[in-house]
Amino acid sequence: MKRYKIFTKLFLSYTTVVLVALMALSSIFYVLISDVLLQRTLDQLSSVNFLKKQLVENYFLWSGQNLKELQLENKFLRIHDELLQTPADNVQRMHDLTEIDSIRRLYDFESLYMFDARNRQLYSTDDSLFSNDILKHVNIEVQDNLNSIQLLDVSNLSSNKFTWVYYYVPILRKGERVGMVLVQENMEKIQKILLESTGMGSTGESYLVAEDYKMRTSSRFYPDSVPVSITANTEAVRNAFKESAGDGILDDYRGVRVLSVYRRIEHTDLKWVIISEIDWNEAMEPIIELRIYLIGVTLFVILLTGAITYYLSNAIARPILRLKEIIVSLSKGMIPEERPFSTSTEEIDKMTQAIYQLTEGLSRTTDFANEIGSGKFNTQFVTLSEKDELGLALIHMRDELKTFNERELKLARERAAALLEGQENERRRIIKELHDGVGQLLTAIRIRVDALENENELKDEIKARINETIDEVKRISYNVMPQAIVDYGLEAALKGLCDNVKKYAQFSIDFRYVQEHEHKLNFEISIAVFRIAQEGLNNIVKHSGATHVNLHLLDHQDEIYLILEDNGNGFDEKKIQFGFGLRNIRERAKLLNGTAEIQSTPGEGTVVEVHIPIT
Amino acid sequence: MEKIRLVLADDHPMIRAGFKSLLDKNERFEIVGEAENGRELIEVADRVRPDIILTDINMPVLNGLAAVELLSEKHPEIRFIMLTMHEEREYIVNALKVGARGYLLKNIERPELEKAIITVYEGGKYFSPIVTTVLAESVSKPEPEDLDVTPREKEVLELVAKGNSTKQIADLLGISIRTVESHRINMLKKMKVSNSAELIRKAIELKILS
Repeated sequence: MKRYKIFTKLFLSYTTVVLVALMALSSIFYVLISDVLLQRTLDQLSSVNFLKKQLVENYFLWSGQNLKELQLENKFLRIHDELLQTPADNVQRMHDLTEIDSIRRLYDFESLYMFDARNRQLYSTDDSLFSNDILKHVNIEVQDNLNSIQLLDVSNLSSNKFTWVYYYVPILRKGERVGMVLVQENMEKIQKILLESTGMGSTGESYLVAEDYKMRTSSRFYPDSVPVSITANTEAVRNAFKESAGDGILDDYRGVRVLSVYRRIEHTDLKWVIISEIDWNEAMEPIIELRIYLIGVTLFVILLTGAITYYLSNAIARPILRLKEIIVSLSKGMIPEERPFSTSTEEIDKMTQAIYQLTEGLSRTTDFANEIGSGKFNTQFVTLSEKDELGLALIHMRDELKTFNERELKLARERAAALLEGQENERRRIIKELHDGVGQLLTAIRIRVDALENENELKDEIKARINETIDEVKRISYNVMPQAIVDYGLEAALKGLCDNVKKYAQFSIDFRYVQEHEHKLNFEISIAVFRIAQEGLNNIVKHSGATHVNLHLLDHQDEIYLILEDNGNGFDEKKIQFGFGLRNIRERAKLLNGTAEIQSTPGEGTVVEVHIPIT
Repeated sequence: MEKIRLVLADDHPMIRAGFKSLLDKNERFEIVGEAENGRELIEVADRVRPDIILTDINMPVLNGLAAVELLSEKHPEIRFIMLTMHEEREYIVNALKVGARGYLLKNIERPELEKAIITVYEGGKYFSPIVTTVLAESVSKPEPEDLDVTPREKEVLELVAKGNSTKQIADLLGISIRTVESHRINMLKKMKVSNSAELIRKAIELKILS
């Protein structure tokens, strides 16, 4: 199965759904509207068709009835008789003829022709001779029903291809036919009825077609063609003859697609159909406009949907992609620095939170591991959950390491303390040797020399040398282990130290020992502080070139605070590694859980600060 | 002339022998007893009742100062001279406290030794020149008190008086421990006192603190 990107999936599915919905709606809408429109147009056509059919029928009916009345009044018989009996130039005859013209005008007939029983033309309103062909045709048509008024369509015989419709009116005397009148109907009126195209737009028309599929009224589209010259052998015509009435979307006589309504003309002897049609294109014009409009709307909506979907898909896909990036980097063991971001989607928001918790937890765990790694065993760590195996393992490791480290530290301290203690003991032994041995011997020798009887310069010189030697031994033994620290404690020892240093140093010492709290320091602390001061002063003597030194001690209840500052050359802490002396100071302080800070700036001297807790 | 009766106390026989030979040269001096520690010195003194006891400070069993303290109560008529290698102030001051009338360093020359014994015997006191210097330094004329306490020092003082630790004061004032302590020491110097308790008392006395 092909895998798509979330974005593509979302985008495609959204767009497809919207597209399908829109198309379906549009189609349904379109079909419904076009159905309605079609139906309405057909209804309209139908009513027009029906109305015109009625008018046409009524017209023929009315003409027929008028003629019937005239027949019943024996009008034609009288005129017929008179025409036969009176000579041509008779005034009465003229009067009768005038009457027949009047009838034509009154009833608006095209023309009237009167014949005798032997078909001889007696009179015509237009003074023309009636066509023999037509006369023959009429006689054939009427022979079955000689005594009734009949309507005859003889257009196929017309010389000018106009529609010719005649009423056959028999002249009867006591039920016997003595002649006939042929009345040509005025088709202009029918034509008018049918050409009346109000409400039919620019392509709507109604027309009459006879059984020979020739039109009987003129075409709106071929105003110059005479009706009968136009053949309309169309589906509408055929259907009309077949089933009397109906409608449909068909091709008309022009071959143009039309909405068509058709009916047979009834109540006359004419076998005509009346057809009302309107071009499909015109009838459907609103629908086509609607279609264009719908397509426009659809395109617009598609574009809009596309844009919105693009935005939405992006909005959904982007945080997922970012989360993916985070997870990928997590899987590579990197902890992303990304802060949590919020999205408008709740699930993704929750996922983001969860992943953030994961990264944060990992980050915390990593930090914790780093802290352990760098030896900070007092770092606290809250596990990510009760079952945080990594966290618990790390905590276990930390505890193990801490215990191990503490044991190591304790051992190291004990070893160092033991070493120092041994050193101090050794020193005590040495100064005892020095004092009790060398010192006393020298003193004894000096006294002996002093006691020698003979006084001379040599004796004085020897005494002086011995005194110097004694002083040197005293200085050495003081440095190795001052007796004063044993007898009088730290302050006395430091005071002695300062006095000793002052003897051969180039600087003054401001020594202060502030006893803030009355207590006796144990020997371990005293000797450590003494050694620190001793180392510090040694350094100053050796390297500083100072002119003044402050040695201040504050003997607080809980700690000894020593500050040793000089105004000497100082050194660059970055460049010069602490010398042996300064390192010793630190080691000493550390062994008693204290701290020693050494700060120096070239040209501004050095400051040694020491805190030693009193336990 | 009556002889001056002396007892020598030193844990080193050689030293005792040395001084003995030195003192024997003067006919005014008679060594009537020797001791090699404090305990023995008390026994000898009880027994021989010397005029003057010359004693070392550092001795086993009982040191010279302790022995002198005991003996000066018991035998007020005996005079004591310390004969030692220590020239630290503490030893000197303590020797004077327990009743020593002389304090000599062991590198003393014979004439001076004789002069010291005679001076003490005649009711005076005698100290080696170096001892005098040390003593003089410790009781040198006090400089006048400087009561010009700076506002910052006063701030520190007030916080000290309220019982704050150095660390708390440093945190409160946003300065280093070293600065706090140097203010404290400066004030101790100015007011001529040796610790904070005395400093506060004095500051209240001087109405620097209320």
